[in-house]
Amino acid sequence: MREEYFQEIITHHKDKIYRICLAYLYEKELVDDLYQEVLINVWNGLKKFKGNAKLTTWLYRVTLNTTITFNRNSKKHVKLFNSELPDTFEEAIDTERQAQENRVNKLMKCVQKLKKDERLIISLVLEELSYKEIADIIGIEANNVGVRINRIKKRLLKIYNNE
Amino acid sequence: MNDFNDMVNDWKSVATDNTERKEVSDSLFGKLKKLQQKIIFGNLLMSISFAVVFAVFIWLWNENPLKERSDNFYVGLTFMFILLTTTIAMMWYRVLFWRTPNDISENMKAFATKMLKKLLYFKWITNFFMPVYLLLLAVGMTIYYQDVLYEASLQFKMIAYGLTYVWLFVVGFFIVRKKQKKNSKEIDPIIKSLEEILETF
Repeated sequence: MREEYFQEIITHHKDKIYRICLAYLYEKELVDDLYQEVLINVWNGLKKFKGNAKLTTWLYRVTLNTTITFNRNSKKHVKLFNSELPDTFEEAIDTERQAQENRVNKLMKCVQKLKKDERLIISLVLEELSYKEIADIIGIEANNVGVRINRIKKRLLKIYNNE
Repeated sequence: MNDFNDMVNDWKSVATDNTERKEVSDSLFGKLKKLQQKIIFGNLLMSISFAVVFAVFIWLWNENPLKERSDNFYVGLTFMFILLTTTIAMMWYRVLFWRTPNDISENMKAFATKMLKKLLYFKWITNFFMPVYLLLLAVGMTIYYQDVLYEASLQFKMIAYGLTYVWLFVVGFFIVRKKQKKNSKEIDPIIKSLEEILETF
């Protein structure tokens, strides 16, 4: 029963979890390790999940809490993306897919330049959660969230466009 | 110039095929669970050995009714008795403290605050409590030795004091250092990360 429920959750929400892990760490092996830890904590947490909270809110909380207690120093560091794309590679990019991959790389690189808490908040914003949901996941007043999100958005856009 | 909506579209294009959950993990929670078991086992061993020490203290006290020995004898025994009792209480409190549930589905701020408190307490035990305990134990032993070694030869006193201090400080130093090194690898990065995150809340 739990296994089925878990599979269902993961099937529907795995990408959301993965994106948050990626935005926070940006390094392939670390991201995979963190993603695994989230899955394990989701699995373990399901025993206690009574359905009092909305599933996605619960899932984001587990993801964020696993992320902030992840010890990156005990793992190997391997870059997921090349920080500098070679000219020849850049020139060869002609398909829309490759262009999008490049933009994603750039976006993730820019997110990395934000502070840790900002990275987490912007991940939730990029997931298109409402201010109320974000406030509920993070644990701050809903009326403070808006100001903060706007500040982070501006900062991210500035970094992105200067990159 | 890029629009935020374009970012959202790019963001949402990131996906993973990985749905497999591996059983093995050295996550903080896995470590906390193991640590909890280790602490309980360690505390049981400590309680048994302290019970033996207390029995010896009581025996020594009864064998030497008040005023038959110098004040150092009774002060030393009382000092060490209080110290060991406090230590064992602290160690069992640690178990109760650790046993408070780690609810990973709490909101991030509440969760981070609780985890930080736990990890800082864990560090405090290693960095402050353990060295102070060893130091105070050395003081207690010294006071006690003032009486029992009063009539001993200088050579014997040197050996007794030397062995006691070497055992307390060298062994204690190595244990504390080992734990500190482990902490700096496993605990400190998480503390730093939690502090960084909580800084702005």
